[in-house]
Amino acid sequence: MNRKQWRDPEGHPPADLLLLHLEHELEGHGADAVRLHVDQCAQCRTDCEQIERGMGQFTAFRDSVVLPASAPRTTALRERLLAESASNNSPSLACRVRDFFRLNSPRRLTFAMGCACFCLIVWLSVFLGNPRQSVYASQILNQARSASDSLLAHSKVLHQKIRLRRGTVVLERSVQHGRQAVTRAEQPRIEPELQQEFELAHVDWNDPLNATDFADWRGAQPKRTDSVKETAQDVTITTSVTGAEITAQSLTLSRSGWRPIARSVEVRGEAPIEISEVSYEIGEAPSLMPANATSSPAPAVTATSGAATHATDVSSDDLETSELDLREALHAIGADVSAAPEISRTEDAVLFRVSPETARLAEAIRQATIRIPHVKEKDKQAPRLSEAPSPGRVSASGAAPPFAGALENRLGSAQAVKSFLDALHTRSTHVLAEAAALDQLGKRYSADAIRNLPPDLRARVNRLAASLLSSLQHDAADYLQATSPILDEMAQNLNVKEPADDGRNLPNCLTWQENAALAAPQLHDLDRSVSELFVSSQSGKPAAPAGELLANSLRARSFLERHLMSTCQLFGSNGPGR
Amino acid sequence: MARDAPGWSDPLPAAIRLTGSDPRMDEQLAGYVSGLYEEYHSGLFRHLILSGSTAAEADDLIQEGFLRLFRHLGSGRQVDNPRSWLIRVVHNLRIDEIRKHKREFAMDRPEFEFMVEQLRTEGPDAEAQIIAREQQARIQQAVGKLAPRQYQYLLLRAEGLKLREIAAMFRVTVQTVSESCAKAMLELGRLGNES
Repeated sequence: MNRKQWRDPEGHPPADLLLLHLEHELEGHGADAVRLHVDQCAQCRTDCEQIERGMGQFTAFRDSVVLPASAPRTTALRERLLAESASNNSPSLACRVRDFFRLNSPRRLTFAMGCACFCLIVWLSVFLGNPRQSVYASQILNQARSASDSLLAHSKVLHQKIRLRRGTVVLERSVQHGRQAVTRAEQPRIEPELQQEFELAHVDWNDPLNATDFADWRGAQPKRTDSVKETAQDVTITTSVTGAEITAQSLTLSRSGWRPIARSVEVRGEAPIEISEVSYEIGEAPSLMPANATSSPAPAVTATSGAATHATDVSSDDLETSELDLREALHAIGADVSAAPEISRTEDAVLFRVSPETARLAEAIRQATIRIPHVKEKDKQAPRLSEAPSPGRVSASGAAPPFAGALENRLGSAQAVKSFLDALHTRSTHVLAEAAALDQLGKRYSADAIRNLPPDLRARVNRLAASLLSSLQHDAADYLQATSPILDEMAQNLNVKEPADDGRNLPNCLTWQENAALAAPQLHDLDRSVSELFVSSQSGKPAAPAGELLANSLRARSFLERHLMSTCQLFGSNGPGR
Repeated sequence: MARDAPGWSDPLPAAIRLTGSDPRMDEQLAGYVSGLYEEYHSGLFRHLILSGSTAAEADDLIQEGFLRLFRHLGSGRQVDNPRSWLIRVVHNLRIDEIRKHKREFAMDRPEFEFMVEQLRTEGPDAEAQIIAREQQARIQQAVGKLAPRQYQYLLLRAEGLKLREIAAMFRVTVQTVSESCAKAMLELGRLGNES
């Protein structure tokens, strides 16, 4: 229901009312008034046509964008729905409890007996071989196999990047399922001992997450115990056997499409072998190639053992992905801003050095980055020292700050001034660190560099930049909000007018890289000027005249408000000539 | 103005009321939901891709959305307009996913740069194609300059959602959505005049 009333029948209805009129979402007298006006007013009819044309333009644009190929996986969904109903075919617990209290006494007794029987069945299932779980496990494996067959039938190829871990040894490789799956002849070499265990566990190194192999191994065990563990995202089947070299195996399937995503093999007296999916992609299968054709490159294998990394055939795409994984991991824990990371690359590794301020952050960084392939930490740096003294603590050697007295008069006490300046320092330090992080990212991923990245990495870089820019905009807005009232008051007292900002000739929209490069020095200018106005000259030189410092602050503020705070940021949708 | 965008069918003839306690009914319900999945997949997929999801994420979110629909209908609750319901659910699922992975999007839109290279341009002759490409570039640039919310509103409107439905999704007033959309539409409409 529209609550806005058009209160000025003499003038034209605003555009939002025209849109509501066009959408037939106006009600009551307002609807009649707008309709009558539009019928009689040529200008409003033109506006209506323009609105309709605008929507048409947007729809045409949307329809003209070519989307990635995707076909509905109806069979997988249907199986998932039926599995859902099979596992949840009784009324909810809440309904049963509600009904229990509504029913009369004999039925309640029946219900209680039912519960007792249920408990007995559960007990029997758990302690006498758990046949129900076994049947359910078989059903799930059948579903996984038919999902895999369906993929094959639809000429699709599943590309999976998988990681194998055993103790400190980590192997990574890419595999394909479908018509282009690599043949056994292309199998890369692995340790003979591991190969032997693979054979015992029916693990095919060319397709280690294969549900059929797991089912074959399971079927070959004469005395086994199955258990099925379900979560909202996946289902894990664990089969344990007694008296064999392989004591247990588990296979985890994603509920979406019944795709195997992890497998674990427990070997007697050895560390378990854990195989997991790192990433996957379903693509169209190209036309079938001759059987002896090996146009697809051999899968890249990376082995890491403890601190030493033996990398073979690490492609630049792998390194690019690892670097981006690292940047995202650091960003997720805020270390890209607070720990000033330095990231560099060698031929086969991504190196980084961080300067965390706390042991907790150092540990968080270690945890977040330890599993990223090809990434190594360089020697640790000594703890960072604060670059600038806290504005709350006035340096004895500095020149007298021009507005220190005025600030104290405004805030009422020296203690209030100290609290204000301390809070301001905390904000400015953080904002400057954010600006530096974004600037560094912009320098690493210039517009040209981004254009050369694969589309998925390009999207990830832009998302990372968008996230950093969003935080910077938010925190810079807070910082400006804290400083603006006092700057405005001082400017009024000194009759200093706001000078035109340096970016007045810049276009309204900037790319995030341009914005990052411009915002960082402006934020530094603002911070330095504000510090010198209220605290002391940080450089030890005599402070500039108050009017000049104030004008600098206002100019930098104006620039930041105009460009950094603007909602118009370009992420790849660059205009002509930019 | 088109009320229903391509990719969506007409609203269902009647409200759906089903319960999931009977296995045969479950089978029927699964069939019904699978039918809707085939029908609505392309529209939902396009919406998610244009909102910034990857193809794999979009597929997973759509499956999860239909599973929720199945559960919802199976519990005896009613859905009058599955199209709006599904788009709302996948939109919220996507937001949950972003929050879960602690990702923040300043711009809730994909990077058109790599998509625009593949833009289809149609026209009878070379000159018409050049004009069409220039017009597309102008529109793309204008769309790139829309505020994230404006872009989302227009995207949902183009999928056929009513303004009041969009307002309910974003927990804002109809007037807010209407003002935002009208401003954006007028801007885009002016581009048509320039061509």
